[in-house]
Amino acid sequence: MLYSAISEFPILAIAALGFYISLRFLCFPDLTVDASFMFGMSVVGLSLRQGASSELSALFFAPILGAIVGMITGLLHTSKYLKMNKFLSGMLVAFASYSICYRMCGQADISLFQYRSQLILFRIFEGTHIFVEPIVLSILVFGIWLGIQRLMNSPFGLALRTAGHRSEVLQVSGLNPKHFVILGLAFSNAIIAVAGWLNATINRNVSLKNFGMIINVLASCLIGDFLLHMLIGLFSKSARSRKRSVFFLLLSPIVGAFAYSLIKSFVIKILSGQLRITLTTDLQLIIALVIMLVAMAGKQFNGFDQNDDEGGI
Amino acid sequence: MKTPLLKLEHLTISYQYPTVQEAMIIDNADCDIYKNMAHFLQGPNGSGKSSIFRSLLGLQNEEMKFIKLPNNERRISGQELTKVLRLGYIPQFPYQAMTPSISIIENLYLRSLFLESRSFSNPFQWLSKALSKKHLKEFINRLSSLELVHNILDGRYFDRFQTFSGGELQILILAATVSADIDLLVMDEPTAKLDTQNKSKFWNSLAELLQTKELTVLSTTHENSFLSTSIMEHNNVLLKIENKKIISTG
Repeated sequence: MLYSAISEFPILAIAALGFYISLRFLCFPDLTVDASFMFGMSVVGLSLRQGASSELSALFFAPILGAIVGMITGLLHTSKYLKMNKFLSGMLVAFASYSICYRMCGQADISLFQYRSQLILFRIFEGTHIFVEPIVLSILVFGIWLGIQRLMNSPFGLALRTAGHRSEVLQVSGLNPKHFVILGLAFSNAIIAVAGWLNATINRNVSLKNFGMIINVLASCLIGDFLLHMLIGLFSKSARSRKRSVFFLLLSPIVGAFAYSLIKSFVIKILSGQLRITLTTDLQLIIALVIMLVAMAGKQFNGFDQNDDEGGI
Repeated sequence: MKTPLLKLEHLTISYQYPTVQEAMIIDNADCDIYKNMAHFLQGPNGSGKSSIFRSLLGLQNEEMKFIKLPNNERRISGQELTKVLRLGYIPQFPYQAMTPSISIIENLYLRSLFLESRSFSNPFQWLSKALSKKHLKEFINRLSSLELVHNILDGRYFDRFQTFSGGELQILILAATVSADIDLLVMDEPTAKLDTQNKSKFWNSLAELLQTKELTVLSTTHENSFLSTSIMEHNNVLLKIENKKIISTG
């Protein structure tokens, strides 16, 4: 149980971190997550099919593709002629990129075991204890988190948050908040594409069929928010002293990803062990119910006054 | 001696509602804004004060070309004006200018960073300044050297902005905006939400800042008494909206 939780954690944590930036900094619930995640995976498939020596070259191209996909979403939303809804622009890009990813991979499912001699991660961790790989990757995630933490705490990251929440401040100074939105979406989707790359290399499988990364990622963010709000609400006495800094904001996707992968593996364990319910059919339903419960609990225990609009979710 | 900073020409503001006939609020009005003078725009509620400001700052959706700069033949819109002049804007409610989850000093620093953005030749230069935290320390030193800021902040630089009162925030925003080199300070009823004590504090702070620095101010306000007491020594122009025109006196 712990193994399945900890092996899923690095992927989910990076993807949630990317999504969280667009959700809470730009107030943009970005449905492009599915697209950039898929691009991150299919880049691995394409490069290995073309005979690349390792998957590391794909690691270079994945964030670039993710950034392009994010920019397209941003342009659809901010363009003077389209002015598309936030949800619609993201959805449209996710929908369209399935075709492109299919063309890149040639098929909807590629097992990477046939390329095992090319996979560097596979060769490094071959023969080691099963816990070594996820723990090393988790430490890597922590490094990425520190980097992003530093970036988002700099005035540049804070400016992104201003672009999302108080765009008039930017506009009056002669800056265009739309540029910040496009830049921010490119950045967040580049991070998510790295998560897609990690998913393909860890699971040794490129699968374009499981559409629905957005649910996992969103659930992680919500659970993380709930847990942190509850903890801060319990430990700080007055509402005025509660600090909700950028540091705490960025903590919640990581905490949430860990909690969510634990919940998920726990549900799977119970379902398959005690209740003998067919996994594939009922798992989604149970997870949806768990998320519903968390959302309900979040409303009860929220330590913060909810007057800031935070992306509508 | 009056040197004009900009001129509003043929300004027309009208609203169209589905059920009511088109309502013309301002009809073909002209008005001069002079350098280093304080302009106070007055008029009853709904006379279009805020609309004038919003179009001047480029926040209105439709583009109206009604601003004329002295050295330019062509009229420009508010959006273009924000790219030519540095406009410091103080909104009616201080919370409208504050980004949530960011400490007070960072909020103020962002303001001055945005205002300074035009002095950089390319966006990468701006980005490199935005990515480093070194300039934040300089900003704190510069700002807290002002006495009125020092009294309010009192070392609480990294507190949430919600822990400060509306009046304190408004004065802090004013000080941070003025400390960045701006061409025109635009204030939309900056003291509307403040009590009498904070109101006089705010106008006195403005008078104090105007003594140390030459500044063009354009503001709406209902408080006549404060205008006559605190900013007497400064050249000021009273602009009144009457019969859909702007009439300037003083």
